[in-house]
Amino acid sequence: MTRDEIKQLFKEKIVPHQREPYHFQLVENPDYEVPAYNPFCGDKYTIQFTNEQQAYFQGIGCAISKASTSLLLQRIEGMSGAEIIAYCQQFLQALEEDQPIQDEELAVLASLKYFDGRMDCITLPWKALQDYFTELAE
Amino acid sequence: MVQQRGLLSDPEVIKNQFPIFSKHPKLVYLDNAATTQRSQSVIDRISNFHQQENASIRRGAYRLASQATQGFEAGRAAIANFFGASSSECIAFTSGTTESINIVARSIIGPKVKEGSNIVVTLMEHHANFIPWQVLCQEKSLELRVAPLNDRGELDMNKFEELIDYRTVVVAVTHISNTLGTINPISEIIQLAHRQRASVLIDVAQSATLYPINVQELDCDFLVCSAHKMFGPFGVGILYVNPRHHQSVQPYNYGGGIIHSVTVNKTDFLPYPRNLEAGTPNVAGVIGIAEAIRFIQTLDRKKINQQLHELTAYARQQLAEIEGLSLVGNPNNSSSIVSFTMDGMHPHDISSFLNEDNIAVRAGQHCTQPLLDQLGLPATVRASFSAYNCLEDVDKLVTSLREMKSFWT
Repeated sequence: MTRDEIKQLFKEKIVPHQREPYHFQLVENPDYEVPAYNPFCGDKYTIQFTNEQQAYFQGIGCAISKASTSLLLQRIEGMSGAEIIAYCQQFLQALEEDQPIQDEELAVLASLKYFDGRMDCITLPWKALQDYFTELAE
Repeated sequence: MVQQRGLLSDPEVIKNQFPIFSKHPKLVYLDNAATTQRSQSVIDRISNFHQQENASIRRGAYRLASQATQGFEAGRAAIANFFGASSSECIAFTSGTTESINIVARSIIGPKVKEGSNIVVTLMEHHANFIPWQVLCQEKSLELRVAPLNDRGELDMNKFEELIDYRTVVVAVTHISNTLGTINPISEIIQLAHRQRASVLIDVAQSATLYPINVQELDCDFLVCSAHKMFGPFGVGILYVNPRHHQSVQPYNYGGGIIHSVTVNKTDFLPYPRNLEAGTPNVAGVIGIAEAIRFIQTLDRKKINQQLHELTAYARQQLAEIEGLSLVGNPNNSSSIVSFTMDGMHPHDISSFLNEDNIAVRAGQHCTQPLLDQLGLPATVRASFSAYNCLEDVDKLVTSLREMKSFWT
């Protein structure tokens, strides 16, 4: 994929999630509330799960971290903690090892790692949820 | 303006002295507030040291060690001379501006402060000149007073003056804001502080390269900066301590090279600056910054500053014309640092897209979180110019931002 193609995919697949992120609001009395914070850049989100197994988030960050969180939440609603850990692990490993990703939108998200220095933006919510539910299970 | 004979001021000519631009001919480097590039002369000097002169200093009774020691101490003398210090003995080498400030906080001010005293900093300080004082205040039950800014991003000097009183032990202030580009009136600040018998630390990390600074004329107590923002190498910091404080300086790290005598019961230390330089110092780094000083002295700094003033004014004007772009800070006395935000686009995304056009800027909080909190901003994009930047660099930045905006929307 050329860099221009990546930029075009960024525009088509990522920017819409930045403009209208999935469930971008906070709810009262969530079952779980997970902070996702990168102190080096200041990106900061709060991710919530309700007892109806819906996921919400709100906060401040770049298009990539916001889209990443939006895409992630769309995919994990209804999953158990253990399933979320496994799902996040699978994506993070594929990202790390350049494995093919079947999910088209996630494949675009993963391709953004070729933007220098943006890996942490992609992984922020994935690592936050993985860490949170892993700690919860211990 | 008449150019001084033989001194360089043409950005293109200066740029040719920096090999990074030969390696990356399309690079538009606008991150000079983070680190400047290295001149060929500095790179060669450090390389020569490693290839032909390497030895540890002070304790070797052989030629290489003797020469390395001379080179190291010549570096100290060059720095002292560059900043107008009364003697080489006023200059200590550290790992960077951050360590220099920590040393002042912990090894000079900390041991003698009394509970109930206060320390004055400003809201625009880099974390390096904020956190050491905040922590010291917490540890010693002191009051940390933070001088506010006006709407333009300048210090409110009336309020600043009110904060300094007879219980102020130190005023720690940056010469130039690394986020807003504001140039602070350091002479006035030093006078205000000294009127209350408070010491003053000036952080010249952003100004040491191109602004003439004379520590004796300023009569500051402490001055700090880093070699890597002065065309020199990473890992070398400079600490100037006014002779009136030399007796107060206590060791920061303990180890070899700082001692007068050691017994199993007691250690007597050498006086400042040697009592701060425990362990084997960064000899190549010091030799590198000495070469960087030599390079800076080939520059017509007065003319370059005027050019950069015009370039920055042009950048501010061109950037402000982009719809949805907001400049952050608009100081009357501004250096060559410009921060901005754009509607609907996060600074990190802007930075990534500029990178696609080979334009290197910084995006983030610039280690000034209290300032950005006050401004209500999560981050900014910062473009910072140096002696090798020209109007064409500004044009490329502006063009790229305009294209990005139309691509994005």
